[in-house]
Amino acid sequence: MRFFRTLNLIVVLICLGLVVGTPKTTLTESQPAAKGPLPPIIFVEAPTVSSTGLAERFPQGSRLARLALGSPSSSASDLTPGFFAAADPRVSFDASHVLFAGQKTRGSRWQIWEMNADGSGQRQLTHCPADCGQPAYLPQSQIVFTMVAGKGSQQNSAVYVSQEDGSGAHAITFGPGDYEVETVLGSGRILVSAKTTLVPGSQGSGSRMFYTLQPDGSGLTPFRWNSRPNAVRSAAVELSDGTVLFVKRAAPEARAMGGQLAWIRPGALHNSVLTAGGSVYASAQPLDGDRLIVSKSDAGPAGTFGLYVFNFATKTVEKTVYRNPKFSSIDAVPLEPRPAPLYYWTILHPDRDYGRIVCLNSYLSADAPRGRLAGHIAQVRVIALQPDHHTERILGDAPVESDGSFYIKVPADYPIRFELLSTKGSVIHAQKSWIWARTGEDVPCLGCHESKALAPTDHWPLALKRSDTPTPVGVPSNQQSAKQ
Amino acid sequence: MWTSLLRAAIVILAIICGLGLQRSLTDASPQSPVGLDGATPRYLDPIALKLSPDGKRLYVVCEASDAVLVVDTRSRSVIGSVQVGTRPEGIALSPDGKTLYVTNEWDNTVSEIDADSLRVLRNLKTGWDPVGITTDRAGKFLYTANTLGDNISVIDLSTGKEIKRLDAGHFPEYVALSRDGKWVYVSNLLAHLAPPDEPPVAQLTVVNTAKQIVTDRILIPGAIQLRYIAQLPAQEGGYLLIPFQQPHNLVPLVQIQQGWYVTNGLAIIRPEHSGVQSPQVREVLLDDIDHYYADGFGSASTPDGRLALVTSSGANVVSIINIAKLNQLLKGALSDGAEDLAHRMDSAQQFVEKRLDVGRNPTCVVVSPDSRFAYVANRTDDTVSVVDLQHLKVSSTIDLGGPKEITALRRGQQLFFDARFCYQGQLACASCHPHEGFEDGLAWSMETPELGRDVVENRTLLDISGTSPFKWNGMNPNLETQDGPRTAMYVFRSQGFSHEQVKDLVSYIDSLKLPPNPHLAADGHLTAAQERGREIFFRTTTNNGTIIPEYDRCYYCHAPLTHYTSRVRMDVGNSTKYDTIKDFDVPQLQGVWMRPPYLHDGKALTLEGIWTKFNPNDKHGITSDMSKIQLNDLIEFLKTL
Repeated sequence: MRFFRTLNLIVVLICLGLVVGTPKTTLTESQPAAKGPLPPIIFVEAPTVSSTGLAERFPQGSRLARLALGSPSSSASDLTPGFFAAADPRVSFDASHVLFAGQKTRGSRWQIWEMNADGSGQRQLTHCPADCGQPAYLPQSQIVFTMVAGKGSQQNSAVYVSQEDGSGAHAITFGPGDYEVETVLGSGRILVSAKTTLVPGSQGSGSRMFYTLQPDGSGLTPFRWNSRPNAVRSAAVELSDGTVLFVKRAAPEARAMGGQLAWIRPGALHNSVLTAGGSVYASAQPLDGDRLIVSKSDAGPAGTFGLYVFNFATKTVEKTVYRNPKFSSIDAVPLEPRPAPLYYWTILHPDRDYGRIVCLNSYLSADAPRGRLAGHIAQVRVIALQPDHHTERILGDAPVESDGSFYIKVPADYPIRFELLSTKGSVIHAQKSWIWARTGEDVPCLGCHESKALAPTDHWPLALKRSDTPTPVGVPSNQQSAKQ
Repeated sequence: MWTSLLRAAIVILAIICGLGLQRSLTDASPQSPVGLDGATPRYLDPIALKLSPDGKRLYVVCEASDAVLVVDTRSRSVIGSVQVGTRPEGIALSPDGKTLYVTNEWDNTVSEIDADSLRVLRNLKTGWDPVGITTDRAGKFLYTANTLGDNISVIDLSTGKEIKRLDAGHFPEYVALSRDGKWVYVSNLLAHLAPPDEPPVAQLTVVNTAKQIVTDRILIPGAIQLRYIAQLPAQEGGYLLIPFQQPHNLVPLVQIQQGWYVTNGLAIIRPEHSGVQSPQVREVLLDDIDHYYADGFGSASTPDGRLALVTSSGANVVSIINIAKLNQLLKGALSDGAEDLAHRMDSAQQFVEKRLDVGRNPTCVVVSPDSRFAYVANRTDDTVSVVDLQHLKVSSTIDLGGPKEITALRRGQQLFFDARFCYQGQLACASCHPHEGFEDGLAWSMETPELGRDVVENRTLLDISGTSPFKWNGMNPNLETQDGPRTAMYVFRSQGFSHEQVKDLVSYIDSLKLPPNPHLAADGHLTAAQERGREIFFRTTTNNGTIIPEYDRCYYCHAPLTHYTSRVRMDVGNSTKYDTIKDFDVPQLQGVWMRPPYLHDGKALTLEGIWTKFNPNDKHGITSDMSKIQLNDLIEFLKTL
């Protein structure tokens, strides 16, 4: 607290000292006129910014600031003077409130807070036993956020959903994926990022890719086909046309701040990089039309980040919004209403301790030549990850039909993966990530890491024609379950 | 107690029916346009378009107002109108541009209209439910696709008489004359009747206009709901472009949450006569990954074949296709294995030049002769969107002058056709209930306690008021339950309709009526065979005089005064190992003649098959003693319902 007061004083002094001439808190009148009035923004300002992890992002503290963009004379106002660090501002659908992650004092837990749009009425929503951040509003008075436990190599994060007052928090991701909230899509699905290779002993590339899932934790699905190696994807937002925009950087530079802006356009299977050159970007949010408000550094990851209006149609910076040479300004969000995402009706059965998985054709795999695995798949082996997140246990095998389909019943909320076995028991293909079925969830799979660009032919899977499916694997048989 | 009361009621009903009340009930079937009366606004519902040869006049067929409007394309305003028959659907223009021909679906006629004076000259008789229509190149003959007749009428315009009726498969709807005038193509809305565990196969019927015979029936595997037919010029391959739907009805419905449950695309067909030895059928999808363009409907190409336009009636979008890029994709797929092309969700990006938002429920699209503009009929907002084909944008919207008041029924209609309530816009109510409330003839793997079980036949939405409960398991007591959160949870996998929207939607569904029944005489009297069939339906003894137990009589379960359903579940011995229940909701019989296949899983492809193949133990009523003639008579009676 004392540090931040000092910090504020320094900022004021610097500003006073730089009133004449040099760019500081800048609304550059010399830039081309904006296409329309820009809304106020809320952003994060910090002397240093790191990408080392949610809890260690701001080793010297940070604040949320509000800035009116319409007036040249406006200055950023501190919304979180009572915090050592604050981050991740997210505006409610009606723009009346702001969620954020806050650390009251150096070394204390990060928690999720909410305040009025003018910074008043701050209230703590969560009381996490670990560090919580990256909140986002969900429809129907719920929020979603990331909780990080452990440090260093032992660190693992999961995604949680709670009521808007923080009550009823529960995990919706399971296993060692290091899941983090990215954004809530207009469809109501939550876009998360996670590590890509997760199986013990495999060489993790450090990459992160996107998945979507429902707010109840069901329906975990890779988002498009963005699993090209050696890339960390983060800070994703959705544009009004369904484009997902994000910051992408090479995996070896995973600890560096910022990267290039990339996007996955509607209908595109792969992402494409939107920016190039020496500048690095830390965040982007849609403003209006073709315009974004971006956080950019022209001096590489070690430089300070300023805020700019960026036109993605022309791929040019239209306007400098705010820049303070001593501080980085990142994660700016426009303070304006937006449509609420669609609500998702959960159909889980909390009373069940199992979920079911139906795979239509396990031969389909984008990892194989022409998208189809060779050989004869006879069985699928289900492997579970032990609670220590390091050792595995074989839950059992189930038959795979001649059309490649299988239908199994597995323990709920348990990280599992599959191996496809030949008639001799050799592994034809092994899954390298963990998935789960939630309580009473029916999980549909087309293939085994199949292309997202391929719809199947219409056929009644043979596994669903059998009278003895779903094959119980690691759970009691159908009859026993029925009695329960 | 309940059983006794039910039996008593049924006996009374049977007596009433014996007295002939059944006929008067049939007579009471509404003949007016869907759900409209004098007190409610009468919307227009533009459904088909035709441009005059010089492009100066746009004729707009309005199915709800029984009219054809004339739009001046320069002033973009309505300059005339003419009333035609009931529920007009299709339009053709004589080669000289002087005469219009409009199909009147519910009158089984074509209105012949003088294009200048807008005076109706003649009404020409057709087969049942004519929709699509064209003249031949010389303007001497008309061809109409008769939806409920499953055939094509060939009408000699010199006499105004139908001279031929050609078989056209199941539910033919749209008709196009080839660019060289030698062929008439007819596309089918519904698939061939087939066992329920087989994927659908759609048909395009090819008619030789010189001989007036069917020369080919081109099959399109995995597809249904073929719609408007556009043909590219020869220099662009001469292909036919026909929007279609690819249902994945045999895959459990849970798949909707990951996409591609219903995909939408184009059949690209090069008929045999166009220089290839056998018809080439290619399929491409118009959908994008994670975003669907539901319910393809209209198609047209520019005269030079540079662009083609396809409307997605459930997405309110028109897609503009670059034909050169499409040809490039097709050539590439040929050299690189074509098997995946029909299912690739990332190919549309390669040939769709632009997606344009248009009005609600876009149906037909036409292109001006100078290739400058395209016109799109927006059915549920009574407008026409004008697309500037040079700049690929909607340049204006023509208000056709429909009522400005938007009633609950109108809102419900708009919801019915709108796929945006489903996850990723995969499907609308209309996607599985095409032709405004019909069933699509497919068995769907709905999500029940067990995946892959209870694969059930789609059911009609026509005249279902008073037939509750709904679903084959009778679990939905009313339409509000059927269309509310349950649809959102298990079908749309998205937010679905609000409470108010459900009320609007139900009001619309309640307004959907069966078309006039061509099997029943206008005055309601029954033919001798129909009368014999009626006696069989109400019989109480078998042929040898044995008394039939009440619950084995036709009318016991198919109670006449309650839409020929007892509205309870009955076990008629038709469950299979794939069903989790044995007793099913008794379906109403009104309109049964026009909606094969039959039984809960659609395994009976004909009415006769219900008794001759799937009633071995007389559990579905006592029928084993009936002769072939008696079964025929019974069918004749059922067709009158």
